[in-house]
Amino acid sequence: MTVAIRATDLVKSYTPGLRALDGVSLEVSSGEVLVVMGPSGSGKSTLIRTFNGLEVLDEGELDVLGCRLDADHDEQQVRAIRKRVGMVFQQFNLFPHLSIVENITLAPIKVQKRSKQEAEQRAIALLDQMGIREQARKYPAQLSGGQQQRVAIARALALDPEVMLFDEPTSALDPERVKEVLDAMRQLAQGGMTMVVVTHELGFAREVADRVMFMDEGQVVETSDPQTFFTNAREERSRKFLNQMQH
Amino acid sequence: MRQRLWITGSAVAIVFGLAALMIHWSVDLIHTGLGLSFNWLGQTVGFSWLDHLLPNRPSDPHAWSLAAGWINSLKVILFGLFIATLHTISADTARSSSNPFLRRLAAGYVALIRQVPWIQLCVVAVLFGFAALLINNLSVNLIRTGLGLSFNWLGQTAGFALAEHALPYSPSDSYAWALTVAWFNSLKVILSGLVLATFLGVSAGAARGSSNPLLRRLAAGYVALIRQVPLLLQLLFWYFVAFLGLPDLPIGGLIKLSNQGIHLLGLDLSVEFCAVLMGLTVFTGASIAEVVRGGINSVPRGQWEAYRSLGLSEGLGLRRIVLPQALPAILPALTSQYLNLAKNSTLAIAVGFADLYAVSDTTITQTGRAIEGFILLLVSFLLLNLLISGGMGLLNRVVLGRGARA
Amino acid sequence: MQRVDRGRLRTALRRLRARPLDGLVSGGLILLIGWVIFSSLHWLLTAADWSVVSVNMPLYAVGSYPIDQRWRPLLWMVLLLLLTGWTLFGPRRGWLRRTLPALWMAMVPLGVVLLAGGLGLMPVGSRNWGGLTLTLLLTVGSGVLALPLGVLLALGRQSPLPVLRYSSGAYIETMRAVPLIAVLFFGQLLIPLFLPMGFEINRVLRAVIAFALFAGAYIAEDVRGGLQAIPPTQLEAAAVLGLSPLQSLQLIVLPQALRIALPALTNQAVGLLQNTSLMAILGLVELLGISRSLLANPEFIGRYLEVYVWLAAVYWLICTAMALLARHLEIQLDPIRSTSSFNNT
Repeated sequence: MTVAIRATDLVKSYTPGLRALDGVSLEVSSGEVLVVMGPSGSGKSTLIRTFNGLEVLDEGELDVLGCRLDADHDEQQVRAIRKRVGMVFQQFNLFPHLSIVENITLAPIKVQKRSKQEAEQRAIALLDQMGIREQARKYPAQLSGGQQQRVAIARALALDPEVMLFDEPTSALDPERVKEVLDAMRQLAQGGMTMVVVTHELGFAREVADRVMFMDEGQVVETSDPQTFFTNAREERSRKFLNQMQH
Repeated sequence: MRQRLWITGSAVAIVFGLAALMIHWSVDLIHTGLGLSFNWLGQTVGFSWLDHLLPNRPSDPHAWSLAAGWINSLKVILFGLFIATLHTISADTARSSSNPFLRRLAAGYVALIRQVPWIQLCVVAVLFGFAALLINNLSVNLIRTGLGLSFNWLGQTAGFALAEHALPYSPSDSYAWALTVAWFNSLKVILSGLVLATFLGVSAGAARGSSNPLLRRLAAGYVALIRQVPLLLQLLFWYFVAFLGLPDLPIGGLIKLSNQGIHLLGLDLSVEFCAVLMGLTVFTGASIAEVVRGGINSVPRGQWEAYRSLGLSEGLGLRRIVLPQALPAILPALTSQYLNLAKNSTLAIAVGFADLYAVSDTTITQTGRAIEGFILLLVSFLLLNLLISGGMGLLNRVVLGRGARA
Repeated sequence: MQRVDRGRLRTALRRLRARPLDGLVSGGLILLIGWVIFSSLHWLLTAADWSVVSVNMPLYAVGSYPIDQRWRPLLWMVLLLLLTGWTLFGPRRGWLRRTLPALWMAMVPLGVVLLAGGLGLMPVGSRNWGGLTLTLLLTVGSGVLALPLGVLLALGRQSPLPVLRYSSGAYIETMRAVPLIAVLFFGQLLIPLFLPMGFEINRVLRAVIAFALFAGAYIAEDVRGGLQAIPPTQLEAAAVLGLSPLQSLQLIVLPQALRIALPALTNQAVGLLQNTSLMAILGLVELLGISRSLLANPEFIGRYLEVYVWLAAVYWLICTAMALLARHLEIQLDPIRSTSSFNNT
């Protein structure tokens, strides 16, 4: 199996002396689903935001799909990576002034220079896949949170990414809307997409993840297969976290 | 990366070179006069470049001088290209050097370079070139008209009379004194305008939320009418129709109205002053009314229900409960209305009130010192603005401080 | 029907004297309004003489433009009206919509060419331009120049480059500190000084430039308000999709910022139109200027009130219409409010 993302000793701090990432190393193989868990402030969001250059590293280096990223933030490398890596945010971040279809076709038309017709056909197909085809001509504010997040997934998929990053995709949703988004993600995983998912959804991690990585205070505490992690976590900190999550 | 460094250096060099060339051109053009003809190329240029590679004398023809200018520009460009290349090579060498300090320095430099938005840097270069061109034109024009920049004229006798002066003034006084007196005239009308407009605006703003429908509509009508008619037109109306049309009307012994002015409790107010004051008050009052209404609307409706449920009267509730909470929203907008009033007071020139702008205008017409006059006016207004926003800032702090303690 | 009216009247009356003080206030107001209506009617019926308005209608419309050429300013004003209608009621998407900014931009050179002549038209000097035509030309011309200037200044003020940030800030603050009349006056005086020798521009154009330089600073602050209202996550989302900074500015940031700033920009436009009257002080014969010269005419001496009432009505109508049209545009540009009708069907 080829390696999609390789991180070596990543360090990032926002305030001097306080490290959001404190020497993180990991590998994600292509086709793998890695779920990153950890208490808030553990650096998991910062970690996946370094993967597509939203955060600039202080030290260490990243290899994403063969492109190198390090403290010497190279705009061209970053843009090359972003064209091949999709991302879904906690707050959806749809463009409120564009319709659903326009949200999805914007990047294919402007970045990949595809024809409008082709892009729209693909957008409709993706919306169909997400089960919200009938919303195509509406605007983001007219959709529920779960629908908006599925549009955000479709928008990322429209660029045919090789890796998908999910930054707490269900944290801003009403509880009854979580399932529809997780189902869409599960479907994506079954299709063989390489995924890195930051989430608190234990059920999703248990069923879909190939590996679970637990982070605390900017460091990787343990990485295990879900079976081991949920029944027999190696580290005390992981067990404590799981205990809190389940009660 | 190497390519990027090189392109940057070259772009900067070329932009500066072209700017230099443009300046050469425009200076040369000035010495030639107008019309499309190339005869001047052979004429004596009359000046020489300080910085030149070609031997350059005032007795040379224009063509030679121009060529020297071209060579100078070329020199700038070539020099820039040379520096760009040198800096590319040295940065590149340093990055692969064995010395760790040098390597880190170069890496840091390259990282810094990457952070710079290149489009904007070019914009800056163009901006500077443009500013240089404007300043160059200005200085050339000033030299041509024999003006130059000087403030000596401030001490000369003004020679014009001021109909209205709070401080002693006569036409034999200096321009500086005339401008000072005018500054105080402006201050007088601005300060009284502030007070009256605030009073009118707050009343009208409060009236728009009144339970009396007649009062509410009247206030709404006032705002809708006044805000859609130019202030200048309103000033002319107050002057020519309202105040110059006043009949002689001695109301009691203390107040006397006539088209010569208003006599009020020992205060003699000129018609011009009254017209400007009235116009500014009514116009600004309408804007302040909107500000006040917006501020009151920003207070949650629950506060009304709360004071009503406590049995407070409407007036007391508005004064003690609603307005204090609306103030933090009102004050910043009020400040900008006050600044507008100060700026709008310059329209006084239309009715012949001797305010700062009107006297500056006269001074400039007499002396021809437009740029110096503009600078003085700018400084005066910055001072006035500082005064108003400083005062309002103080008020803001007091109000917010009280809110924070409560 | 009558009973309903009487019921409503009774309610109204009850509200007018809800409390003793209210009764007093209402009474006073009714007296005041009655007096205003009475004296206005009295003036209208006995003293007013509208010949100063009716006789000079062409002057108010086009100034002292040569009589046989008046169709040119009139044509321009009709085109302006048509374009306004097209903006408001024309198709909402498609290439016709996208040409609108270009068409608005084109109105200025078109107006200048139509008024000034050339290209086969008889040349008419700028001293003969006047009336409503000149007011509109000044407004549209300076508006079209000021908007891009304001957007650039607002972006400059947000720029990460200190030089650009501080110079934009200094420009904006200076312009906002100075009274408009001073900018206009010095525009007339100083713009020639800043130009290369022999490069002359007429005073209407100088006024337009001065207005644009002034209004640009105010527009910049409004646009900045719009820019600040856009969450930074929108930029992240655009960057993640691979859009370049320029693309995300053009496709994501500016459309949203300008829409947020639209009400404030409308106020600026109305203010700009009102402020063109200041050119009357500096000798242009736009609406107010032409009235001043009419009032200096012995034939119409002392007819101040008629002229001012008429002018106030014209300005009020145009400004109110602008405000209403802008509100219409606001609703039309709001994607949800403008599509909700067809979503329901």
